[in-house]
Amino acid sequence: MTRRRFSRWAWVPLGVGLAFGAAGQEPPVDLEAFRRIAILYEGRVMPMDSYAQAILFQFSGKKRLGEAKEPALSWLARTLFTVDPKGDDPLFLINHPEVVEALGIEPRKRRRYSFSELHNSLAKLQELAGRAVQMEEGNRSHVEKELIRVFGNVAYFLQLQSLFLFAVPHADFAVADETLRKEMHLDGGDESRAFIDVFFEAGILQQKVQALGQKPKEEWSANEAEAFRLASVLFAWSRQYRDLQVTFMPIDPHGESVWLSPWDALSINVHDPEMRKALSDLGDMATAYRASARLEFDLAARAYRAFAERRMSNQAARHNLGLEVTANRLNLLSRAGWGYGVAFFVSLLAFLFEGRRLARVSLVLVLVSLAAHAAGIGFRMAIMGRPPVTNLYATFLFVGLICVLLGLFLEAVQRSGLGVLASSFSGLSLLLVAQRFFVEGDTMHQVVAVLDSNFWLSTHVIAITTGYAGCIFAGLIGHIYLLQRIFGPGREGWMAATHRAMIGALAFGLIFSFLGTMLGGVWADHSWGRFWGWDPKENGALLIVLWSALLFHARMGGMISERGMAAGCVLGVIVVLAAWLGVNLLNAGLHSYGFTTGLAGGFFAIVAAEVLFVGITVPIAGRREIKHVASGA
Amino acid sequence: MSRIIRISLSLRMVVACLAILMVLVLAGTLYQVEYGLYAAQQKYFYSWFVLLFGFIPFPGTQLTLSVLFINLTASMLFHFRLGWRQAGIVLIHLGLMLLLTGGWVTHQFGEESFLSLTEGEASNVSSDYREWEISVAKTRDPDREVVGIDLRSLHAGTTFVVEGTGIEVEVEEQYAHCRAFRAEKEADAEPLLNVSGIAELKAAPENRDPEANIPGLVLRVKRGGTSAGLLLFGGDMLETELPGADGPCYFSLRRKRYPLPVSVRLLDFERTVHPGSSTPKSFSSQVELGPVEREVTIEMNKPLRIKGYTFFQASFQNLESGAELSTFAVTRNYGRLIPYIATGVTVAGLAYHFIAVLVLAAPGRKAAA
Repeated sequence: MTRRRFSRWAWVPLGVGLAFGAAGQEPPVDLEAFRRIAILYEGRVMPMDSYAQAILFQFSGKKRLGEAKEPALSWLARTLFTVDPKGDDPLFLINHPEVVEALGIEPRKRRRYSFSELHNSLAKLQELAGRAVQMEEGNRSHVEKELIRVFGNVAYFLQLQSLFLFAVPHADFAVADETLRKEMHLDGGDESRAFIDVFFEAGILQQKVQALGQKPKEEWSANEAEAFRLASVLFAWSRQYRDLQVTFMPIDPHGESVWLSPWDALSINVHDPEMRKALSDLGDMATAYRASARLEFDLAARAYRAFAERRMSNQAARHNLGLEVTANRLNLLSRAGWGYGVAFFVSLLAFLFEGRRLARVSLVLVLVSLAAHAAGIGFRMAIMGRPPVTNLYATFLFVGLICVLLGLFLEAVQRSGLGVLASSFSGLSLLLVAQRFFVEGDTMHQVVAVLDSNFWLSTHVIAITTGYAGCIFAGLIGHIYLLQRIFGPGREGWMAATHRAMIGALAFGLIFSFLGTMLGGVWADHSWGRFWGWDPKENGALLIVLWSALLFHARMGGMISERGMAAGCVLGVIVVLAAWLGVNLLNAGLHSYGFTTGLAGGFFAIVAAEVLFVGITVPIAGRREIKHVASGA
Repeated sequence: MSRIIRISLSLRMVVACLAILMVLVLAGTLYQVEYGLYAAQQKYFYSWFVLLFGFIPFPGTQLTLSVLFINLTASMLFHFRLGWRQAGIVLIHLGLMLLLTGGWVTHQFGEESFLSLTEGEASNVSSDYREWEISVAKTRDPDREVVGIDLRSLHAGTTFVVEGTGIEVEVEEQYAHCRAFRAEKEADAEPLLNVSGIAELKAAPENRDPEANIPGLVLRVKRGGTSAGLLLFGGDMLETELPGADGPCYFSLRRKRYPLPVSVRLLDFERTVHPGSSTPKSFSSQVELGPVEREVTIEMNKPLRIKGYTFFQASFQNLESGAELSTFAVTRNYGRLIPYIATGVTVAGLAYHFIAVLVLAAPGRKAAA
């Protein structure tokens, strides 16, 4: 274990791309065509590639499966197409130990349990979750919420497994009677057949069964009895698997967007020849996958994809599928994060040892990472057709981008390496935090009705997040300033420049926080009829404005020194985080837009760390100052 | 004395006020989790004094903002000098004064009410969220005249005479929030008059959100020599009939009503979701305005503004009957544009000051140039 970790870390500096090469189990066929097939999930049309990641994340809290880090798409294909997929994938995340205990399964350190582990406890899980569902939402405990979530995931997993059963041979559909086989135009003998093969030739069964209505059962011929049995079995299966929630077949009857699961498409559109072809293509995909027939799988997947893209009423969505697959493949935001990481180390060395060449390298690295970062955000905007910030995850991407730009601006003005250092650190930390803690299954999900306004999303939201960025950046410079005071006393010019940068960033943050807060008021006036209502989100934004204004007035009145101002900027980070995330912690108010478990712990850890930092550095820096003044005099 | 004035107008006072405001905002936000928005607004934000943690006397938001306003005015008059260097600062603070003024105007004179309509229903009055009134009418005609008696003016023991009916009323019991019960057995006492057969009201703990409170009253009504007990319950949909001086009178307890300048008929309510999900995509109501008939659509983020009133799509409900009930928030605000202007002025000042003083005049910049 230790060796593994060591080797992973050892590779990091060697190259950004290399870290992404790790792949798990190879799928038996080439999944490229499958990757781009469209599916409707949570109101958004997305490629299977994104869907697989979203679902795997929903089940397991990870975008790759298990220790082998199997890609989500490969896991999804395995789950859909194999008859009895490996039931021991560590798939279902169960956070609460009480749930594990209640289900009577062996607790695991990684908290991820396989379907076969849960299998024997399914009845228990259903019963407990059923009871939890009947409670009023507000009264549910964490355990009850977790039960509902886990049950929902297991039920969804079962749906995934049954999605392609229509193409899997089953003894139910063996046609024993030879005449009936001929009447149904079926080749071969009495082997097991798939639902779809029998279903497509079921017209004759219908006639036969109708004629049987008057005939007493004892007088039925073997042929008639078999026809009746097949008809009932077909009926039972299509009832069993109707209304599955996994809908990826667009039928779009009158330009409206309607999506069905293959089972529902089978029973509704059986007379549409194009649809029949599409369904048998899907069946062929499953069969080819099981037979590891690469060519057949690819052909069937391409044929199906062509059908689906033709049928989609929204052609823009079709265009976006390719864009999204490209974006997933480029994985620009992760790469930008790694780039900033490398840049940070280089710029730290350059800053400490004043290496000019190193400084230039770090600047180039930051610029390249910034290009990837901005392009990553650009892809998201193009795919969603929205301004850059629509959810909590996106706020981190955007705040990171603004911080990097502020740093580069600072570098352009001061040319001291400080800007690149701050740029790379903020880019690294914000992208890392975004990817690590705020990634949801689908990070481009639809916005709810109240947020559905590109105008306000692009004014108020942009302004307020830019304000966050300014204040966070000022806090970052504040850290650097206090450290400089401790480790480099006497270099007044150096520190004065840092201080000036900090003040500038704080002023920038104040302006945009104020503008954003007020634009929020204007939006509230438009959608709720009041400019200001002391709602938690509004209050959070107001706190940032008040804190920055307080610092400026205290500085103006000579109430705090440069050191105090730096400490104020550092503590301002807490205020920004309180406004940014605190509201989600409170979980009250009109527009909390996301909650991630474990957030509270992280938030209070940062609060404690910042307070500790200020508590330690400010007195030491003060003593250094006095000493320096004394020795200078 | 002049020292006190000087301190209260000092920069120190500004910093103190900002710090106090931060404490209030934080405390008021945390308070909401437990007690709801309305209670927090009343306790922290619309008050002059507040007891922090229940025992520490602390200035309320109204007081703090008033001191800040005085401070701002004074610095306008005495501290700031006109000149290019200070022009940004002056603009910032002028904008803030305007903003505080706007907030005060809205708080003092604004009216907030709501209007709930089922499809096909029309109304030309809106209802208050929290205030209730006794209504007395002489007919059931929809265009009738109604006497309204504000519940805030009543308490147990109050007596009044309902105009034009000769009925004298004495309040016997009053509940801010209560539940209604029918008679379980034949009561020995004289039965109370109530159209729905409610015999008794029992006080219930008040809700965190006062909108959800349903008040009730037990009244003694007298006319001529006769007297009777009358029970009014806020949840009662029907009106209780009493004989008046000239024909019957209809009594009910209802949310306080405000006349609207137009009548609104709900034609159709529509809610859409993103396909294949339960995420709402839009809410919209198609309404017909009267008396001059005109159709408009009120959507989320697209309110209807008419004659000083604004109608917002606030919420909806699927009734058990299958009908859809759409609720509009109705506001009447006098200073609506003030915060807009104030924001513009302050932001212009901030931007000017930032560019003129912090960027262009930065010492590093001069040295470089």
